[in-house]
Amino acid sequence: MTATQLFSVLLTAILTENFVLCKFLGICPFLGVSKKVNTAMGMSVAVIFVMLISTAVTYPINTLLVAKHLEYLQTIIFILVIAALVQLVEIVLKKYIKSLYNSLGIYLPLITTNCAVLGVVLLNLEEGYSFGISMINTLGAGIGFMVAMLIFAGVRSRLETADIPEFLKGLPSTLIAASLTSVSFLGFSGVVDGIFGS
Amino acid sequence: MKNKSLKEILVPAIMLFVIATICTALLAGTNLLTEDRIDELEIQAAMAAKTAVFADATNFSDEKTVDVNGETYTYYEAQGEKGNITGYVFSVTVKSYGGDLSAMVGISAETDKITGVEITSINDTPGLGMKVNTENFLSQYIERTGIIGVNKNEKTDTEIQAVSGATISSKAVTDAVNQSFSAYESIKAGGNNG
Amino acid sequence: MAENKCSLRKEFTKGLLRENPVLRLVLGTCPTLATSTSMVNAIGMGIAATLVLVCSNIVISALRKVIPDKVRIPAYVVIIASFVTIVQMIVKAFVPALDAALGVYLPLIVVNCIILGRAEAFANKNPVIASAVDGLGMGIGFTAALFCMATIREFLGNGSLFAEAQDLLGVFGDNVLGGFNGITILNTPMTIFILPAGGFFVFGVLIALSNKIGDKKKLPKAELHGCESCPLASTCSKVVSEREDKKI
Repeated sequence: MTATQLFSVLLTAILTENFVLCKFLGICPFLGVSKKVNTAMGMSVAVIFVMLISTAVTYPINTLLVAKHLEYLQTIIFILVIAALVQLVEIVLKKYIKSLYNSLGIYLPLITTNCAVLGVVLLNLEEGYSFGISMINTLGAGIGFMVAMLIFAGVRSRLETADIPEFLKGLPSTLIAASLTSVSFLGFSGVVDGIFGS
Repeated sequence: MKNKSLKEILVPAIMLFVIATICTALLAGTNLLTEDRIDELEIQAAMAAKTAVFADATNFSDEKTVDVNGETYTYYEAQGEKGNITGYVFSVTVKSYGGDLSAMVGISAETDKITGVEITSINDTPGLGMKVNTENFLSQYIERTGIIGVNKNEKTDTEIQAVSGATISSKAVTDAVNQSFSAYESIKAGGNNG
Repeated sequence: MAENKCSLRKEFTKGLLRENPVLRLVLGTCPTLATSTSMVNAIGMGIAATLVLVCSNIVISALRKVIPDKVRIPAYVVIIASFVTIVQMIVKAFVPALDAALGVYLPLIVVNCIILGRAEAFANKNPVIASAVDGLGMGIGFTAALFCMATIREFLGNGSLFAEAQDLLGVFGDNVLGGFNGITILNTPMTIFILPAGGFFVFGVLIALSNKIGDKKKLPKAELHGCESCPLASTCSKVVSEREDKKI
């Protein structure tokens, strides 16, 4: 794995295969917690954090499951391990690093059943990535989530003051704004390959 | 008092454990019932993908690898009735417009010609890039040999015609075919022993 | 007895329209957007989720007096994950084409908020039959909304209806319905509708429509209430702290 290839995986995960806008994973927090830029930021950092530790922990577990031919237990074990891990991190943060807990910790339990976290873990396995590339891909997916959240939080703050027809107010206009944001990400197709062209 | 708090922790923990155990047992049971069928389907699917690009083979070897210019390629040997090698099927992944594109390429060892190209996974724009995954486009590669180019306007002896509006995807497929061909030549140069 | 039947019917129909999980409660948005690119995928996803929903509702309701309150969420998650895996194995064994089409979204049914939401909001308080009916109604409501979206997206975005229908029909043998594999109507479709952007757009329009219809019936607007709508709200310190903030 050369540095270019690593960068290519990272950028693909952030831009071309953006988790939220291209893969539809993590839509609930994307629509629900993107009203304010600072909450969007807190949520995103918490998601990146949970994604990274989940990938780091589930990768060796999966190796063990495959060795014992117990692949069918993947879903059930992964979700339990992620949930337990998140709880543990929350308790540790609450007890020892109070300031970090106040800015990040409150989002943690919410992310346990976020499809983006389980999604990135399952996608890494499906692609058959090695541990290092899995981590890079996970980091990319998390940053992609953050980019989408922050851009969209900006779009929404404009939307708040806009004069919208009555029947489109609220969720419908949010979704249509999301659709336009997603169009802008279409433009990234081919860009990564263009930069690192083979 | 202390006993009670211990009980308060133990009872839920034991219950959770019991539920998890029963669930695991149920899963193991279902797995036992469906495992053979899933394995069989997977073998069938893998076989079908290989026969699609190399029809005249009675059997395919297990996965093998060859190194060309620092890249590792996965391939399978196509075997005739007597177990002799009649050709090769390469499984190649290249970068395309919307991410990875995986293809299977069959090359005959007797004529050095391409016997078929099949796309196994593609992530390109539906309606544009996806159009390379059609019989019409892919059949252009059959019976060709050597390095192939891409032409936007017409089909020539050494070039295939790109799908309009999907030049990058067309180039990606051609790239996969060319890589397979260089891997094939390196296997041949290595004395045909694989 | 008559009253009982009546209330069962109510449990069933509420999931279809009044409390449609997708269009009114805005739950399960991820699979709705991701698998509504074709009608066949939508039906497959809908059936798989409905199966899991009904089974998990039945089991959770049957065990509602046995599961200690403290560990109920992990217990539900284990039960739901088991059913998801069972459904996944069945789909892999009998409808492999659907497994390939749905990909990672099939195991992700486990984190579909509709299922955990129904367990927490209904199945752990109601008897088995009512829970099963509730699950069936919600499941069919989910499937219907998904199907509706997929019909629009496939027709406009791919110009076809029921493309690759044999993926599903293949379960019943080869060449069911004379090998019907969908029809193509538009020759130059608007591809944007099967791209992610089209998904958001069609979903937005459908929600606007459902709001309009709901308005006439004096129903509240479909709206995401931040974290409040999340089934884990009661266990989540963020929601609790937000509530406390409001009190102060």
